[in-house]
Amino acid sequence: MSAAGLTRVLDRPVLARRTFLSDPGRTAVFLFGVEVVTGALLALYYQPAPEASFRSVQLISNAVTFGWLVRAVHLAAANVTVLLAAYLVVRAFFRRAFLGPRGLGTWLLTVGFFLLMLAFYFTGEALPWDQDAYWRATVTANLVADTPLVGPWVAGVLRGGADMSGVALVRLYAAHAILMPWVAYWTIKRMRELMRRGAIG
Amino acid sequence: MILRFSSTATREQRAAVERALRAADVRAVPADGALLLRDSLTLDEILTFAALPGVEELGTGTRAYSTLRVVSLGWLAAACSVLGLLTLIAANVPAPLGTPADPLRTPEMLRSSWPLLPVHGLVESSPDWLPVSLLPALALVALVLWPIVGGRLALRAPRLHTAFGVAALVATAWLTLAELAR
Repeated sequence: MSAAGLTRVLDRPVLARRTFLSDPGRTAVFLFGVEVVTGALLALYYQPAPEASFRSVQLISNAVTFGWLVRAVHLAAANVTVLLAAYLVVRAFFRRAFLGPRGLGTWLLTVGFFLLMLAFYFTGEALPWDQDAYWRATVTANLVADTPLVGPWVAGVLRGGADMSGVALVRLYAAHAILMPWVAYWTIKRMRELMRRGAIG
Repeated sequence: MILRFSSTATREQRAAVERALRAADVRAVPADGALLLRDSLTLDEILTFAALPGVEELGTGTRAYSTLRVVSLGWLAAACSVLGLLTLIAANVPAPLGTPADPLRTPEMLRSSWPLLPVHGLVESSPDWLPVSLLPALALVALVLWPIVGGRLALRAPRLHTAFGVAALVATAWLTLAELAR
């Protein structure tokens, strides 16, 4: 492309939109993108098996170039995303965004996004498989198992048995890195459609 | 003037609109799902073009337009500042890694992950005769189904609805602090 062509493309009129920083929802989606990129980088070295898992995270943190930074950014962005998603639910509540013709869908998507980010957080937290990760996952799984009606079944599916094991680690990893990213993709896509129609701000 | 296509407009409809504009000798600059037209259209022209299938609105436009250069530079600046901030946090708070998991050795200090602090606080403060996870489960169901549970309240008594929200936030903060102090 010639310089003149490039200039013509750059000077093409487009809708003036504020950057994603002006809207916490769009900031959360950007941070989710950061998670996808850093997560893909971590997945290059991570191994989802009880002892290999700890060693691979050790390798990422100590030996891989900038591995510690990628891992720390992944964690920091995860924390901020959970906070932002919670803020979005609170904002939707006080703005009463659940009223009106598309209100129910808007609310379910907002709450769904929050719960999904929480699920990402809890499954991701267990993956290093160190003492803290293991016992935190055990505590969380016990909490899920104590929930009336569906709790024991959900906990059983997540753990693949009565307690946290290698099967659980593989399942948590599969949910964290394969299953939930797809769910998140469709959730974000649907949210963007609603935003384009002006149903949510 | 701005001619905006509806989101359901087909490619043929868009092409037909552009042909009609060309036939009427109106120059159209494409801009993000819309066309920028000269402002001196006659009323007849406006009515004709606005009635074409696939056209959502034709008017002086309330949306501001900019150039791709400005928009993408703004995006780049925002992305750089967010990534810079994340890197700053990450460099100062590295991700922890302790000793390998040992299912036979329970750690002395067992703290749940922070998003669960209020939930554990709720479990701890619920009376003994209730199943431990009943209150958190009810809270979750109420949150998901709030348009049904509290929709009428939000519609009829907005202030009461706001007060309820503030109370729920205060309770969450209180449960978190109580759990942290334990």
